[in-house]
Order: sequence, then C-alpha cells, then structure tokens
Amino acid sequence: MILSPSFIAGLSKKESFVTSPTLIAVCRGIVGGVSVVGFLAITSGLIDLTGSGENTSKLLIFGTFTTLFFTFLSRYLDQTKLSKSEGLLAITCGFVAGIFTSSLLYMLTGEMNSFQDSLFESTAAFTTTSLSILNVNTFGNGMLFFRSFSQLLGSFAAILSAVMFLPISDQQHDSTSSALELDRMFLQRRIAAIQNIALIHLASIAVVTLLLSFERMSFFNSLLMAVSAVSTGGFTVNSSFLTDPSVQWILMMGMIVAGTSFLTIWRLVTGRFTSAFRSSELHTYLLLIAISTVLFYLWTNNDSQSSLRQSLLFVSSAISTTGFHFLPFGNWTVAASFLLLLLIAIGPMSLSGGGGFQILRLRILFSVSIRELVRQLHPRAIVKIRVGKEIIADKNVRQVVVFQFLFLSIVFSTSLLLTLLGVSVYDAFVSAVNALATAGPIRGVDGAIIDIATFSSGERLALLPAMLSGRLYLLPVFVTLGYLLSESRNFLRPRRRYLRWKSSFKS
Amino acid sequence: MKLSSRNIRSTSLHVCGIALLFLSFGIGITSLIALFDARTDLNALFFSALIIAVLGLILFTSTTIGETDQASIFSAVGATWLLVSLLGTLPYLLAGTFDRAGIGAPEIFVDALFESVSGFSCTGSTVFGAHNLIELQGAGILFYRQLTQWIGGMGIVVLVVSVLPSLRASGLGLIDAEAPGAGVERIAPRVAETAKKFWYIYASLTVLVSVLLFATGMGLFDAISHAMTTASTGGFSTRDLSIGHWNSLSIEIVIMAGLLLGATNFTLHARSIEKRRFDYGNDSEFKSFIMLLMSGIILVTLLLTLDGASFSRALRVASFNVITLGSSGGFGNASGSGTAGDFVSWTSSSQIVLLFFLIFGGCTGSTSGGVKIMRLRIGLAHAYRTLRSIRRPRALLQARMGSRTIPDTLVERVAGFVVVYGILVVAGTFILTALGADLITSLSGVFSALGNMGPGLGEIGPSSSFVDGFSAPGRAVLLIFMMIGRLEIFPMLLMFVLPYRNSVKAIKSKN
Repeated sequence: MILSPSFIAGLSKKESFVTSPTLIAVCRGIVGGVSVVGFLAITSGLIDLTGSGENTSKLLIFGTFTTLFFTFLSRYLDQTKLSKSEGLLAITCGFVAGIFTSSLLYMLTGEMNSFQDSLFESTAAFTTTSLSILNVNTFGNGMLFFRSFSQLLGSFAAILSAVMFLPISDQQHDSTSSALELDRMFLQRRIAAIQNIALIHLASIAVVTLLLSFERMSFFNSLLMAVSAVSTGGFTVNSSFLTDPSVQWILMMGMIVAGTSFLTIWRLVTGRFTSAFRSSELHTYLLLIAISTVLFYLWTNNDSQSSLRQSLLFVSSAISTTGFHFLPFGNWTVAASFLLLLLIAIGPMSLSGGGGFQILRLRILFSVSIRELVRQLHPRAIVKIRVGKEIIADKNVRQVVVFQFLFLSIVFSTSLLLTLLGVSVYDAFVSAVNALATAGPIRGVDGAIIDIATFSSGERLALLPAMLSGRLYLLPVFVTLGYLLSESRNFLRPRRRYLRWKSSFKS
Repeated sequence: MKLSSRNIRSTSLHVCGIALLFLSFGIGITSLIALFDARTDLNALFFSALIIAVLGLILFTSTTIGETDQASIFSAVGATWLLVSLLGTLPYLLAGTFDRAGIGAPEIFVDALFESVSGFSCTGSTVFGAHNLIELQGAGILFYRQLTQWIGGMGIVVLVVSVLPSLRASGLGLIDAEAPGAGVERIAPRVAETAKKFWYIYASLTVLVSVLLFATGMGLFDAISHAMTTASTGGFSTRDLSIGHWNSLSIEIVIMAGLLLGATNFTLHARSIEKRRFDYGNDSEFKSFIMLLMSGIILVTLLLTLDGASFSRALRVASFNVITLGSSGGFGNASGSGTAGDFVSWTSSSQIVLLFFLIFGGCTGSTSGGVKIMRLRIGLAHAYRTLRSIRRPRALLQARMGSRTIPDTLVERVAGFVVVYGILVVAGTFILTALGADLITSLSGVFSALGNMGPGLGEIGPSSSFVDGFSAPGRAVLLIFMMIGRLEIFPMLLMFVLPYRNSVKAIKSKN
C-alpha cells in the first residue's frame, strides 16, 4: 500500500517511491519541518561564533546533516498538488517533526538531559507558548538564537496555515467588497502572500530591535526580545529589562502590532489607511484593549502613576497571547486575573501571530447568537451572519461553531488530564487555557507567576497536545487525527485485506 | 395590550392571573399543613395566599387572551415566571424566614427572592445554612418551599395551558417556551390534553416516589416533601444535611431512581405507558444519558478508590452525586462538611468529572436543567460532519444521530443556543468575580444557576450555603441566571420585546 515494489530501485532512479497521497503529504511535512529546523541550526551555529562558540560544531553538524539528508529525500517525493486537507496534514506533520528535531538538538547540545523536558521546551518554543523550564543564563548565543527563532518559525507556519487553508482566509477571499481587491490578490497568490507576510514580520522585528537597542540593550538581546514580541512567543533573555518603562512601551507597541491582522498591516503599509481603519475587527480589538486596560487598572487597586502603563502592558501581553514574564503589581482582585485569562482565551485579531479564539471568530459567534434571538421571534426569517459589512458564508459559520466546540472540549479534557495527575482544579483550568491559547505564563489569583518547572514532567507533557492544537488553530490537528484513524482502520481492516489477498491470489 | 368592550386583551396578564390563582391554591394547602404544625407561619401563609389570590383574580377577570405570536408568548411566559417568583417571596417575608441580626431589608428581600426563584426554577441552591437552619423552620414554610419546586418542575405555564382551552395551538408555543429542550412533541391531539397528560405522569411519579420513600423509612411529611423535589429534580430538602440526614442506602436508591425518571423525557414516559411496554431502549438520547452516567459513576468510583476510600463507600457516594448532578437534582448525601459525600473535598479530577454533569444535565422534555444530552449529541454530530467535510469538500454530508438525519435548522438552533449559553457563562463569571467571588466558585455557580443544578464547586458544595459563597449582589445575579436557565434562555431574554414594540407603537400613534 505504502511502498511500491521498486523502493530500492527508486532510490537510484530518482523516482517517487511514495504513492499514497496521504503519505506524500506526511513525508512532505516531515521533510519540510526537519529541513527548516536544520537550516535554523546552521544559522544558530554561525551566530554562536559571536559568543563562546561552545555549541558551534554541534549545531553546524546537526544542521548540515539534517538539511542535506532531508533535502535529498525531498527529491524522491512526488510533486502532485495536495488537497486542502492533505495540506493541513502536511503542516501538522511538519510542525511535529520540527518539534522533535529541535528537542533532539537540545539534548545533543547538552542543554537538557531529559527527553521529556526538551520536548516540552521545544514545543513551547514552536507553539509560541511562554512556558519555559530552562535557565537561559547558562545558554550560549547560538542556542539562545535557536530558541528565539523557533518561536518565529512556529508563528510563521501557523499564519501560513491560516492564510492558505483555514476558513478565515476563505472568508476574506470570498469578499466582494472593492476595498478588499488588493487583499484578494494578497491571498490568492500564495507565494506573494508568503513573501508579504515574511516582509511584514522582518520589518516589525527590525523596527522593534532598533527601538530596543536604543534603550541600553545590546543588539543581540534586542533582536531576541523583538523576535519574542513579534512572534507572540514571550521568551525572555534577561528579565531585568522588563522592568524598564521605555522597554515596556516598546514591547507594548510590538505586542499590539503582533496581535493585529496582517491584512490590516498590509493595508497600512500599502497606504490604504481608510480601509485599514474601517476594519470592524480592528475596532473590536482596540476597544477590548482600551476597556480591559481601564478595568485592569481599577481591579489591581493601585493608584500610582505607573499602574496605567503597567495595566496596558499586562493587557497587551495577554490579548496578543505573548506572555512576557512581567512581575505583578498592586493588589490583584479575582476579577483582574479572570480578565487576563479571558483576554488570553479570546486572543488577538485573526491572521495575526497570536493564538486563542481570535476576535473574528468571537464576532461571528456574537452574530450567531443575535441570529438565534431573531429566529426565536421570527422562526422563518433568513438571517445572514455579518461581521461589519461582510457576510460570512454558512460553511465558515459552521466551522467557527465547531471551533468553539473543539476549543471548549480541549480545555475540558486537558483540565481533566491535569487534575488526574494531581493538579488543583484552578491551576489545571488556567494552565489548560494558557496552553491552548499558546499564551503564558500561568498566574495565580494574586497575579504571581506559577513556575511551570514545579509541574511534574507528566503534567507538562499533558499540556503538549493543547499547545500544538492551539498553535495550529485546532482544525489541522483534528484533520490529522482523522487521517490517522482512517488509515489505521484501513490498515487493520482484516476482511478487506483478506478479500484483496484472495483476489490477488486468484489473479 | 388592547381594550375591548369589557376586558383588556393581554395574553401575558391573563396567563399571569391564572398562574397566580394556582399559586395561591398551593399556598392555601400549605396553610392547612401549618394549621396542624402548632400554627407557626399560619398567618404568613394564609395572608400570602389571600393577597396572591386577589391579585390573580383581578388579572384573570379583567383580561382576555390577546395576541399569540412569538413575542407575546415569550412575554407571557417570562412575565408569569417573574411575577410568580416575586410574589412567591411573600410567605418568606411575612414569616420572617430570613430575618437575622446584622442584615438589612434589601438583603432579606434578596434572600427571599433567591430561595423563591431557586424553588420555582428547580435549582435547589439555598441561602439556608449554619446561620439559619432549615430544621428550625415550621412545617408550613418547609412544605411551601418544596411545593415551589414541584410547581416549577413541570412548569406553571404547562399547568395554565391544561386549563385554558381557548389558547388552542398557541398553547403548544407556550409549553415549548417553558419546557426544557429543543421542542415539545404532542402526545395528545389537543394541546390542553397534552399538558394534562404531562401533569398526570408527573403527579403519578411523585406519588410513586412518596410511597417508596415512606416504605424505606422516611416519615410521611419528609417522604412527600422529598418526592416532590425528586420528581421535579429540584433538590430542596427539609433537612440541613439533605438526604445525608438519613444515611440510608435504600432511601438513596429510591431518590436516584426518582431523579433518573424525572430527568427522562416525559414524552418517552407517556409513550411507554400508552404502549404498555418498556420503550426507553429505543430512544438514543436516553441511552446516551444512561451510558454517560454509568461512565461517570465508574470513573469517579475509581478515582475515589485510588484516593483511599473503600470501594463500596466510593461506589455509593459516586453513584449518588453523579446521578444527582447529572439529573440536575442537587441533593446531597454528605453527613457533614468534609465527609465522604461532600464532593468539594474530593480529588480535583473527580470534581472535574462532576463539572461535566453540572454542565450537561439530563434529557430534553424532562424536568432537569443544563445544556441537555440531546444538544451534546447534536454538537458532536455536527463537529464530526464538519471535520469530515474538510477532507471531502465536495461531499454532501449530513449530521446524523444514530440512523436519523439531523436537519440543518436544528443544528443551527442548537449552535445558537450553545453560543448564547457560553456568552452568558462568561458574562456571569465575569460579574461574579468582579463582585469578589473566587473563579471556580463563580464559574461553577453560573453553570449551576443556568443549569438549575443546585450545588457547585469551591465554596458552594453540597454542604454549604450560597450565603457563604456569594455576597448579596452576587446572589441577586445568580437568581437572574437561574430564571434565564429554567426557561432555556430565550423567553427571559426576549420577554421585553413585546412591551418595547407596544411602547414604540404608542409613541408613534401619539405623534
């Protein structure tokens, strides 16, 4: 089924030996994921030369080997066009392969001894979840670079999957509004879309790096902090910088931009300010930030002058699901910590680097609830779901409703799993929401950070499926599970196998 | 509202009038019980019945049935529940049930309204506790408290429809707006007969449970009182320790069986009685409900056993608490705070399993609350269909439940309901945390109120009072959620549409 009889001969003839479309997608994903991590390892190896150079050889050898080997393998993969679901499968496989390769690298460089810990750390990095168990003070420049840029890779891959495959992009794609003509081009040509998003990413990183480097931070540290902010990863190199007010303002700006849709940023970059500011999703996003900042300020019972800035800092960190490890201030009420948790769950705009439920989906759900209220009064009424002036296709509304269902199911099942392992109900619930929204850090009621290192390795591993699903916006993971189930069912189906064997025997 | 030659034409007021007459009749009966109980609370109950009867009579005689469109139906059902719950506080206020040192009149009113709404909505959350013991109350007030749940269980509007043939087909709309679930099936050609049949089955179930409870060792008063709140899956008890007071396995078994029957679709009961055969096995929702409960019991038993409890004890407390929450009953079998039956002292994982049942409740068309198993199944079927459609974009896939195809309109209704439910949960939790309650108590409190469950997690366990978990404003918020939850959200949210329309019309006509 999987390997043709010409497997060995295929290697020398440079023919595709993988024939099943599903397996082609899996292989392409794995090859892509591992090659990209290998390439990052090579770059990190070179960067390591700027520091102690302790890990340079390991990073270069590992990177070169994996990149070359997997690029070589890719020559034997059939170049057939993948369907949408196979594309989702490829992305998930690539993500998982990248995570595993990265965890092998952590072990190879001796930064971590346990495979579970390195798996957790690399998953946290790729999924841009700000839950780290590493002591970065002992890290060389190479590994610091690798760790930070893993976040960027993860964020970038997630956005690409959203742009190219997920319903949100379809919605924009189906738009008939003239203001979105250029955006449709932005989305229709995938290569152009990838280039544009990469350009926006790089430009944002460059601006934030430049601004941070003016504030007593070294260029290298500034770069890593900028990458963490723009990718909504939240890993920090040196926590002492986080208390500096000017650094806080720059990070705030970076995080708010990172939570903004790339479409909106693209419109701004291309000078279409009116259409950019007309986005109803952007209005909701900014309104949420403003209201939440005021509420957070009121609920932290702190009347010092700095608290409004700090409130905005915590709110922007939560809503963009970045999760820098800022220390709490004032006296937090329960409502303040719940507000942050709610913002983490809601997340930023769609087609941004952040995780969570995302504002467009939330607005669609609000429209669904309004439609239901209208239908209660007028059962035969035909009510279209709108966000701003855009009509959302029924197919996409259905997917958003399912997204909500899956989101809540994962929060519930992760909480159950954590409580089974001995975590308290509150900690389990908060950890599950943080993991699924790819945010962090986990905070107690008083705002104090709960160190994830105090969790057992089993408890940390229980968070991984939620982190992965959250980063890939759930559907790719469930489609992959569907493939896995149907393939294993086909593989195990004895009657069909017997009949096939019988017919081949007869012929 | 239109003025005819004699009467005001208003469906809402007319239905309210009859509902109040029924309520006064019920309170009148409890006055008789107070008469035999050293006449404590007799005056309070008698005067309450009198005031409510006069009000009901005025409304009934001065009004006739008016418009019966959807807005009028929601307005009628919402107004009836509001008025009944509001006037239901009279016996408590006149008897001074919630008077205690250190609290003012507003808080006493909130407590009385909380208990009244908790009763009529069959939630079972209580403001009685160590500061104000249930067992110190007179038999009249206690019986009235149980009666509120019995009336609320099947629904006071269903009762009204059964005696109001003039409503004709609109009566089904009224029942539909009040009954839990995604639609009511007619079990008789006439709507009034359908309503009567529901009440007959309900009353028979109550009698059956009363007899069994009496036979298993409860006193007559307690047996009847508990049967009323078992059939209605309400959960109020005449004892401070609830069912834990008797510490009797046989009583717990009867209560569990009663709750299961109460949480089953009453149409299914009617069909089984009509066909004279056990027809429950053919109902996919009922089968899922039983399967879920069994899985929950096994899981919780296992977790409690692993936590050090003996298997028999674990099985007993797990079965009772899973069934009581799964059916939205809300009884407790703990013999005190922190004892085996007090689920807030269990392991975190067991509490999360219970939270699942706290959210979903029982079957549609039953007296139980929660999101309902049917909606869970439709949600699962819809998710499965959508995920399959990503793999097969051109396939015409239908959401299916067993061999039945689920129409898209029903899927959309369920999706809409779940979305509104979710928004209410988040909003409620947000308000309660802002009022000072902790997150788990607030979240489970909102689920408990919306699902009409009774107890919750955190500080509102089966042995706790809601006074300990929430401030007076917090309790006021919860009672609104209880009412919204009892009417399955929409009637309560849309009840003001008709008055709004009428006032807009009035302003326009003036201009």
